[in-house]
Amino acid sequence: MAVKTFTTGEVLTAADTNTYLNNGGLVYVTSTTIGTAVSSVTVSNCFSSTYDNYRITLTGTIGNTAGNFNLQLSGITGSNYFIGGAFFNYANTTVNGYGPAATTVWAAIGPLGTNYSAFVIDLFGPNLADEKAMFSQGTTTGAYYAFGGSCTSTSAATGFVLSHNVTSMTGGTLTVFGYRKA
Amino acid sequence: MSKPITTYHDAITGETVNREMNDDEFAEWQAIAAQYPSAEEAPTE
Repeated sequence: MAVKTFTTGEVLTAADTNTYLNNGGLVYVTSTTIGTAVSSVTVSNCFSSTYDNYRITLTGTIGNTAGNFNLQLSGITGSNYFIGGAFFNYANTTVNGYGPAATTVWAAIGPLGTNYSAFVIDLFGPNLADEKAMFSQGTTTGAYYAFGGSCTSTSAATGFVLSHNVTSMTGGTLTVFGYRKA
Repeated sequence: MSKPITTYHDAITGETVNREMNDDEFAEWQAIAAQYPSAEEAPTE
């Protein structure tokens, strides 16, 4: 049972406590604050066999110039990364498609604005000996990105590197959660 | 010429440092920057 409703006066047993107080779907793994004028952020040892799938969130990061976030899984440096989807600029209705050839990063996995940036990435199987997949959505003050992607490498990664595609970035919080398996 | 700064965070130890890229990180960063995407090739706001 994923959810249990306790009643007034009911005895809360150790078994129930262990089961239900830790039964959330998303489990916090780690978080870090991005420094000032950094070109990349490396998060190591955040992927393991404890979880198969992960959610990565970022809020409040400012680009030195407007650009995009690139993401590379640690140790997977070949042209294994495909990404495709669309981006939109607010206040108009144009849908802009984007689907580059395979490259060494998930390019433009999120937008990086000079006032504000936020994204969420669902990442599937980064630590498994299998192909990987991701879905991302991100926004700045003026633009929205929605992308999916694959990584053809079957190497297991334990971390990732997030970088600005042009210059540098400052501030904001990057957090990694694991999807509880059972 | 100094190397770009990176934020390095270890999820196990909780350590976070902001430092110059090491040689391996710098080489990889240069390879990515040189290959793709440039500001003109990728979507921007």
